[in-house]
Amino acid sequence: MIRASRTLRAFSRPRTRRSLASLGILWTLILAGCLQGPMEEPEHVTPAHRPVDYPAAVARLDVLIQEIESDSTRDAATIDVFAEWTDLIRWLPDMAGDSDLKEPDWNRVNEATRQLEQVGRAWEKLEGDSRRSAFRSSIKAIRESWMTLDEVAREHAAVFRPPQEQQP
Amino acid sequence: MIEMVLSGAVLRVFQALLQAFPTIIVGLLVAGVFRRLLGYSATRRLFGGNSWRAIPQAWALGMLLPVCSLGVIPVIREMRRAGVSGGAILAFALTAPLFNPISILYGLTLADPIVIFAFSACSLLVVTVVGVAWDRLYPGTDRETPELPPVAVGYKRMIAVAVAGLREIGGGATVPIAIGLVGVALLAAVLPHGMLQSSAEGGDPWAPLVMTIVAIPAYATPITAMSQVASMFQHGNSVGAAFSLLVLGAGANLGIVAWMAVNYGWRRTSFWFTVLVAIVVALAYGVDRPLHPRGAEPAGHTHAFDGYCCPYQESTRSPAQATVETIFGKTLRHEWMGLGVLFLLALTGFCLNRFDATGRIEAWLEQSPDQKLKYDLVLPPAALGAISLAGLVAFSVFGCFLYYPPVEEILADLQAVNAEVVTAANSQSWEHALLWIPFYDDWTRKLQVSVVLRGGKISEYQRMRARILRDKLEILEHEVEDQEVEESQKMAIEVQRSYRRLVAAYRK
Repeated sequence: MIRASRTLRAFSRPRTRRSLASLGILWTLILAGCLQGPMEEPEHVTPAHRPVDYPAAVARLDVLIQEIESDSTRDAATIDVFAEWTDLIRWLPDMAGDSDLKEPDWNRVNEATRQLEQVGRAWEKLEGDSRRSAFRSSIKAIRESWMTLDEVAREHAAVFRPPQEQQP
Repeated sequence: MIEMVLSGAVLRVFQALLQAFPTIIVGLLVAGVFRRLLGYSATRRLFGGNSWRAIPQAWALGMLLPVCSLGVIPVIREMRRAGVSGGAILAFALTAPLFNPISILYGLTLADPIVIFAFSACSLLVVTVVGVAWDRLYPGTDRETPELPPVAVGYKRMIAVAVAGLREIGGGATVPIAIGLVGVALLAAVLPHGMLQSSAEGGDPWAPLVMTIVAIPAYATPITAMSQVASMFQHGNSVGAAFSLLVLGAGANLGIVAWMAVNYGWRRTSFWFTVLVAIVVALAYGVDRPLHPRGAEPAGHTHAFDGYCCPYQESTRSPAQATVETIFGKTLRHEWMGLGVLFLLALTGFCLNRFDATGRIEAWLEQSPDQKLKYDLVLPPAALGAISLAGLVAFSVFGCFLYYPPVEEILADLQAVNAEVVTAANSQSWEHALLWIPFYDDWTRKLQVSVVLRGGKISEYQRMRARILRDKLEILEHEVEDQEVEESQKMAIEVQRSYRRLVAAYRK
């Protein structure tokens, strides 16, 4: 009891009380200043350039490879071709995995995607034409990886069909 | 408005207590062992005395003992009595709540191991800088209390440990613990529902700073903080914010700050706190980019920190009634039992302090300490203390196997949880679905840790299957929250499909 009341006394000294209150007010003000007002419940938004399934993503990747190689330019309102490329590479393993694909085949997709990621690091920090040059210099490795992805899409076309179209 | 704020704060404090009671009890046990078995001089030796080893040793001990930032309070009070240096006390107080074997295993499996190792190294850096600065600037803050008389051998030693723990929870440790809980209430009162959902986005330069401010009064157990770090990692959130949350959210709370102020004075505490926050913020910004997970999908928002905000929205009809319903409807039986035990301990400790302020029980326990027993082997109290502490560490390692059951057991539970969620979403039992979805998510994570714990590794394929299921569960949760009938049914089918694939991947 003596210990308890001593502790309580220590915490209820006027100076301690004032300091605790000041700290509390200061912190509340800082927090209120740092954070914005209550917001709407955020939604999960699917980006417009996300393909519907794995085969569509592989096909889109082929289109992007040709587009980058051909030096064609996009208008400013459209997503940058390299940004789209990066997103596609990031989505591919989970898009392939969102099916009944077996482990060895999924591992092939994952491995090919990693290789594409690795190659992509070469132009990640570059700008403009130098990115395209870096891309072209790696085109052989890119094509090889893409072919693996395409093989999986073709060999296992049945598992990527929408569920209602699959055999029971 | 006031009803909403108060009801929210009450619910958050109750939830914090539910999380804290096991580690508070462990903290009381450790404090009792320090006082009556190890004794003050052995406790000082355990923490490296006045040598250079004091701070790293306190950090290492803190990594092993399973206490949270509320449970550490009785322990640091005992360390202070034993005359351990201020730097070592601070190092222990900050590290012990950060990690324990269960949370480390969780972090290593569900976040990038490099991130967890880096966070551990950074925590060592934080406690070393803060501890060394403290000991240099404020030497002689350690205060030695005369050694307590030895306790008689046999059952009396065990009773003495219990009495020491009871006196703590019924007395001196209660006030800082209560102040720590006030921080939780304050946070829930200040932060409206969902306020932190977009505050920790990867690439947001303010994220580490905002999380630092939020984390100071926040309370999180090591496993909660680690699950939030893992969730942030999965959602591509700011790694710097995750670091701030771990060090300040799990490692410190208002109770520890208040205890420091009372014991060392406001000036010293302000210095300690400023250095601590400065170094945490600096390290948070330092690790933010280098450790950012490559390829993680930025989710745009996270629900990981909803537990720090007010649980109610302005549209909630009766927050007080909702709080009562949540407390009495969702608290599990073992949680009530744990809370009951904690309350009983506090009551017994209070009565002990009230009716035996002069320490008659201790005097009885200390009678005939050198009594020779015929057949018993009498171990020195320090040996018993060391065995108790080692046993506690061993138990927390063993606890990993209980906390993460075998894969087949988890899959059996998942089957039941999946059925609950899918059926509830299909039949528009919104509340029921919202109750079970967090359990579902949690079991998928435990499944991953269990595979690593028992097999040593987990394949990328298995990780992917669990990740996809969790992503779909999160979308289902949103649809259920919005009470979208068609979309919920559609997502329930998706969840069911991903569940089937997950089972196939883990049963191979």
